[in-house]
Amino acid sequence: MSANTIEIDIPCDPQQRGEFAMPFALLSEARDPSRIKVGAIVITADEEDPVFARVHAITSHADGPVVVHLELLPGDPLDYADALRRAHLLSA
Amino acid sequence: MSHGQPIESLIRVETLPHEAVVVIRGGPITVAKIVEHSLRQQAVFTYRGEPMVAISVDLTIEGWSIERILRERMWSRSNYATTTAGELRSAGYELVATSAAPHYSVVLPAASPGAAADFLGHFGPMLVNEFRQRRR
Repeated sequence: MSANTIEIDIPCDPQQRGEFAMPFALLSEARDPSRIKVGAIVITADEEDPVFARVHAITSHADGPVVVHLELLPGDPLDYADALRRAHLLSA
Repeated sequence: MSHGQPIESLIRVETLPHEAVVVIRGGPITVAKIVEHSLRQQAVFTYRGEPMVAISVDLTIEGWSIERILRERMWSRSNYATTTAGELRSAGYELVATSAAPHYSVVLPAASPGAAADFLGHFGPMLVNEFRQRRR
């Protein structure tokens, strides 16, 4: 997997913390905002170190931007792919 | 008048960290990423009624060793860099205790490449995170 082929769903700084003590992102930065729903599993962070996350909440305050709060899921995304292949839930 | 969410409700009341406390910033350690993340903070939060241009860091305050921070909070980061609270404060940066410990926000003068480069200039070399949960 080379860094220049990775396309994350929504970027975030996994070190940044918002109102839920979780990393957050801006909906406007999502590659496909229609995929960003509460409970959705997304690839986030950055192309160098992508991470799985579950969308915990989507909020907005006054005229501020729509904020996506992300619960980071542990481990390397490739470990999830391996587990899916072992269970024949994912081909190739 | 700014329309962001005031950060004040997320500020922890605690004593200023000792000068020797280590400040850790996870990778990618690049000017572009510092600008990107500080712009996001600015879009969402205000501080003292103004847009909050800031970057997140973790500090080795009570109970939080470098190893614990790398293992429990930076497990997704391949690289990191460090400085000290004293180094940043002496350079004029304000460290604000926000969200849950050991998280802090370092207030930057602007969300610009110049300000980001100045900020990163206070950090040591990029280090490999031996506790990352990554295979690549």
